[in-house]
Amino acid sequence: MTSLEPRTPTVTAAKSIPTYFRLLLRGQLTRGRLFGLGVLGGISFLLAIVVRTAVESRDLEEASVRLLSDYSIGLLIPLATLILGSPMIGDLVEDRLLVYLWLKPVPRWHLAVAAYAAVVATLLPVVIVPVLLTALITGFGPLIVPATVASILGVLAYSGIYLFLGARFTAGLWLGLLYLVLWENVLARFSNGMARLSLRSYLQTMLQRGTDVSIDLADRAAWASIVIPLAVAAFAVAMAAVTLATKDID
Amino acid sequence: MSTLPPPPGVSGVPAAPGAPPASLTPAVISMPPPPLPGQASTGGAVLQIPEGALVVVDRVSKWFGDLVAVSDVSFAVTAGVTALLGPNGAGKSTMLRMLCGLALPSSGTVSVMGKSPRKDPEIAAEIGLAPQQESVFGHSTALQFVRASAELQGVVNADTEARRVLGLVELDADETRRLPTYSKGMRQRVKLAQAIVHEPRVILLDEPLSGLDPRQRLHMVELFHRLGDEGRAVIVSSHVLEEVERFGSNVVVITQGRLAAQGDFREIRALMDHRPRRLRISSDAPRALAAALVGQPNVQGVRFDGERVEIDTDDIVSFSQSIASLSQAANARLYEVEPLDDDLESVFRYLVGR
Repeated sequence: MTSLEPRTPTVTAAKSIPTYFRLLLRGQLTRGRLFGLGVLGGISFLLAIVVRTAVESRDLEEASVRLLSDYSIGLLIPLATLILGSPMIGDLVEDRLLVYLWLKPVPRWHLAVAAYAAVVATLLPVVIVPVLLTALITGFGPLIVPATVASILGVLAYSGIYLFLGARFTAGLWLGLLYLVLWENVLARFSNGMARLSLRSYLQTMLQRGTDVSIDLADRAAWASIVIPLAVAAFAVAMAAVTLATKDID
Repeated sequence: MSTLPPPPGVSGVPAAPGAPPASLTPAVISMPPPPLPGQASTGGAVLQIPEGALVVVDRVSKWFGDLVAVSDVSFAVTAGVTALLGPNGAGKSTMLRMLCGLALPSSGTVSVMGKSPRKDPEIAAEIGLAPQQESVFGHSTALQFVRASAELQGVVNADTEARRVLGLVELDADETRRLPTYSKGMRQRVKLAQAIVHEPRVILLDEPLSGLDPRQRLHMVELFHRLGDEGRAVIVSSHVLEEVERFGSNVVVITQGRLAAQGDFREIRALMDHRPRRLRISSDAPRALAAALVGQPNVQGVRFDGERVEIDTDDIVSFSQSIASLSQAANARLYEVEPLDDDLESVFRYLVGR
């Protein structure tokens, strides 16, 4: 062993991302988190039954839309993504385990994308099943497609945001909660202008496409209700990758 | 770590008071002549880069706000085992983190095989790190953990190699227990296995012997030497002087974030052994004993507080041999001779202040 030329092994994204994905998924799916996600889904299920049994049939469409808009989009999706998205990298930083994944001859974005994929892959079924059940139980079929699309877009966008916050800030979870409660559910509801900077508004616009029921502050352009959440997701994952490439790792 | 103001700039960082004199590191650091090809250049001292250096640290400082963790440290490491010695909080772990790119130096440069470990992620293929922290992936078995590390390093036969290195550190690859159930010593060995599974040229081990029993320590030290003999630079940090003695001849001593000494361990050990010592002597006739000690050639100072005698000596060996006969001659019975500065911190302070 005399050469001073370093080896440069080729670790492609196709090779590294699945390995990262497996490690992260196994590490972050704790019983506590699964329980939290289950509770959020269960509440959705119970609320759908309550709406179905308590609301008169002529009001059922509006009640279904309100349930999907206020609970599923307003709370279930952002809270579920917060529970899993923020700690996906944040916990590795806190537990000082990130070093084992970081010190590898691969671009940092592989790790960010794998972490993002782990969050999304876990959350899509956790979120979509309750949303579908809600639409089915309340018996309003035309909502199924827009509700599902809105859920997928919501998971994609919020997962990126919380992944980045967890990677960048020690208090990522609390910052995420603050963003959810203060911005998405209070400040952004004050005016149409502020709602333009709220993900919820775009997701509600998507939901509204399946119904005649009017949802407050959900009058974004159809294209924007798809493009904006996807753009937010891409930007947030890119920021998470930049964070991994630039911050000191403990 | 010391609380000094941050050094004022990337180059030309002035040495703070108490910084190690160049004479302590004769093998590697000397004061200018101006840089020649093959030398790294700096505002003050010139780092002579030995042939075949795998790691070069050139005037590196690292500070966190007002806290200076590493201050103006330069050294180079070739193949073989090198001990990074220093008391707890001296900056060893910060230095290791900079060596593998986990932390960016506030000033100065670190290069591993000519590449920046921070800016060139591909150099991680030539770096293996066993960090100090005990945390491990809780959901994994040792084999899963080491195999994943191998896969991410681009090792072709990841499973085979993971099993091989687990065997090297005397762990059962087929053990089905999860890592958190392992003892501290077993986890240390798993961390070592993941650090070497890709056969890196530079291996950084942060306090790797803590938690190991004596037999395992012996085995690990043998393994470090074997890896060093294969042409790898094995940098092992430790705060235990006796432990470092077993690692080999190359030592880099860091204390309070500064390079205190570098070179052959035996020379540094001799410096440490022959440093001035302060001793407190208890006796039934301290006044008579103090009077007898004054003027002795191996005693530089005597203090007497009415009850006990404190002396300074620069020759602890001859003093130890003479104190019994001296006290007998003074008709004083000795109760206790207690070293006042025998802790490692004092040893390092001496090296820095020399």
